[in-house]
Amino acid sequence: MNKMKLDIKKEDIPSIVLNYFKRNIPLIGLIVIVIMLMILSPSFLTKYNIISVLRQGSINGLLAFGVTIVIISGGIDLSVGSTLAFTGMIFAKAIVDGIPAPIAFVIALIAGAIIGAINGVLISRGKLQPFIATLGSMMVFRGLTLYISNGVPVSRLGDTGFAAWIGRGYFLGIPIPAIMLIIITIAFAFFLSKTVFGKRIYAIGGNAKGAKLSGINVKRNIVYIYMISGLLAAFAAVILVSRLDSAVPTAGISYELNAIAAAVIGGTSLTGGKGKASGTLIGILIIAVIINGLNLLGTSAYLQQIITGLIIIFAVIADRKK
Amino acid sequence: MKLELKKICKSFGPVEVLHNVDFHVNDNEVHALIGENGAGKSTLVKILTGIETCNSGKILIDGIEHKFNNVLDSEAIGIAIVNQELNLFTDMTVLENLFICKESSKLGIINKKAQIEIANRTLKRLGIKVDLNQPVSDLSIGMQQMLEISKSLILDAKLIVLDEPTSALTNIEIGNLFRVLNLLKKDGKSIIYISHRLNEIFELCDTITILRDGNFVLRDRVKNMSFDDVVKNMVGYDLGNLYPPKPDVKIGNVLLEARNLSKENQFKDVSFKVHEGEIIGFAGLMGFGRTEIMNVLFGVENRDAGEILFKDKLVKLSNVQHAKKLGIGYVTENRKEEGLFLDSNIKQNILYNNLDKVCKQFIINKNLLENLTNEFTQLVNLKFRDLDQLISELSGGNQQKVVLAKWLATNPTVLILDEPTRGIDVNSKKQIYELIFKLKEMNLGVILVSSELVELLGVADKIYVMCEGQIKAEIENKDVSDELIMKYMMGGN
Repeated sequence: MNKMKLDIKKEDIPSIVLNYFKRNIPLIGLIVIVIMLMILSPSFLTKYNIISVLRQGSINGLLAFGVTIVIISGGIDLSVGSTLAFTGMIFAKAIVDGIPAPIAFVIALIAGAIIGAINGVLISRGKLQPFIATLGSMMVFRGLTLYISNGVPVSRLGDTGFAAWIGRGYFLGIPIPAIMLIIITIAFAFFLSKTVFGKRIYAIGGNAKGAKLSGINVKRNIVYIYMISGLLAAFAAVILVSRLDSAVPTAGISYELNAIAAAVIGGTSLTGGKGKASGTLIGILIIAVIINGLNLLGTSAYLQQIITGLIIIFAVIADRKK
Repeated sequence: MKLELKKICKSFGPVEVLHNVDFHVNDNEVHALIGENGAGKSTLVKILTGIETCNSGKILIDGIEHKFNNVLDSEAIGIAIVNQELNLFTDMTVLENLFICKESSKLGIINKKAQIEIANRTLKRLGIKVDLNQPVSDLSIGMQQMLEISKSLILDAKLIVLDEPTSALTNIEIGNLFRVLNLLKKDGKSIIYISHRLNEIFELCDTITILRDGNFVLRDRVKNMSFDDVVKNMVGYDLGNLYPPKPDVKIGNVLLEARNLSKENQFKDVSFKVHEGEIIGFAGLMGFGRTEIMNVLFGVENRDAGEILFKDKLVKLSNVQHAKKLGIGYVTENRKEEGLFLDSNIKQNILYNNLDKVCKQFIINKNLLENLTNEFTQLVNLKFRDLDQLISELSGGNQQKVVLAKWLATNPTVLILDEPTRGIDVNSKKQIYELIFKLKEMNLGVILVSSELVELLGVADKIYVMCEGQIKAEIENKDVSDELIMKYMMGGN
């Protein structure tokens, strides 16, 4: 391999650079956007603003990592927004009912995992297409959230303790949600590249029949994959509820689409088998930076959707070209 | 590993595809498993690897009886298979592919170092140089094949089955494959080698087992046999009365002519003519360019070079609409995937192919459709309950007749039939042959592509024999022996 590197001729160097660009279009896109915003807005590159970008990106980020592994496995999860609303409501109601916040947190996580397991079983055992199964559960859990809350937000969970800390706290001057985003990114990078389970997700998404013939228990693994997605949605829910000090039954509407957008911008292929934690992080940051930048520039909030939409289309075309 | 399959029987539904087949493989040998398409080779191998279970018979390995319920069971004993369609994950790296589902790991975390060590040792033994971190999609087919073989070695397989391993390889890659297989033989492995290319068998294999129509025919040392012996034992059928007498039709003007058609990596310099009232046959092995040529004739794919003339006029034929307008019909090789809408009914299937005929001002005329469907389902002798019956409820033979009906309804002048009798019962086969002769009487030009030699000999007026994308011979179907054609097909001269 080293020998091969020495053999590279001079005229190959531009093509190597070009190849590097082609392989890292999302990263380069992010850098270009950041540079543009630095020029356009002096307050963009302040510590306060960067922290605020990370905090804004954290909710979408947690959802996006769950959705990323689902998409890598060849599926889709439309239910994460509703799961977020439902588990957030459970978290808030539990606290209001006097259950200690850490225990309420665990209850919410379990609820999220159960919703994921239902999705997974419907897909693997019930042989439903992931789109259909999770579209159904998206509507069911949105309805359930509205039903158990009577459509009314549950607020005032307290200004101290875990319930306030997880969404509003700081560690070394960095908001806890931002820290969570960083931890989850590192965990997923490790999980996807270094673990047996991670590799199996790629194998299942890349060639499900081949995965089965290699001895992978595809059905069971699919259940686990959707459980992780549900679990992360519940985690995001707790952070969101804590940050707003309120569980809103209409929270998280269309969040699933932002999560899918982040994954796709980061190079995850909807046909399965392809995707990286670093890519999804870049996708999350691109979306967060654009929202933040347009706010700083004082432009219309509606522009943000137009730009995100164009970026998705461009990212996928660019991905196919390489 | 000493393998003995004894008196294996296997049925799919009421059809028995293997009848008391014996198959013995010894240590240190490369054993060829030979037979025509449908002879039962792949079913036998599926039983051996646990993908299918046999209805009766025994599997003995080193004298001990085993039962395989799935692939993992046979893998555990040391049997590995390299399928014709490779079973790799193309987006993953070489290393990840080598170790999928047999990772060196602790607590679910992969020990990459250990894997690299094992991989390097295995690849070095086989003399293969490859970057372990490269995605498999970047590798040549030959290298992917090597990877599959390496995978089985990491599994410590003692018997490796190779199903048509050379069908997509270049000559250099084949040479490399043979070198590796000889190396494995020296290491004491047993190899079962399935191939249609007989010259490879004489070059590589020690022993040969021939199957025909699900029966064991013979087992012998390769050196005791000649090319002709093998062919004779493979074919060995009689024409019987399956083929109706050929109608005496005068062959008319040229309908369709291809001149020097070429497409990279698929076929080269292919020229032929179809006349009115003529049936021309294309013989050759699957994957040797036959279907690809038909796709070009019908405008599904573009050609790199060559001319097509329709009734002596140059035509572009760059899309399907054009081909259809000219009067070409195409019964494709896979009726379920390409030929039919399985969840629609008979009428709808006829409709989709003939919208212009039954539509008036964008509205479908029910009566016209009914009449058209009636006319052509009668012509092809379709057996059905009513015209609203779903295609998926019909037998394979009747499904094929619907495909024929929907094309005949377009009033074609040239009809391409790619494997029209694959997987259908004998009776339907006979009816399809009768239909082909009826078309001849109606002065259509018919192009018949078939893997069954006997079919071409029974039906075609002229046979073009293809080998590796080229036409090897053009033979009038008079007093021609099947063995001669088989020889051309296998690359002999």
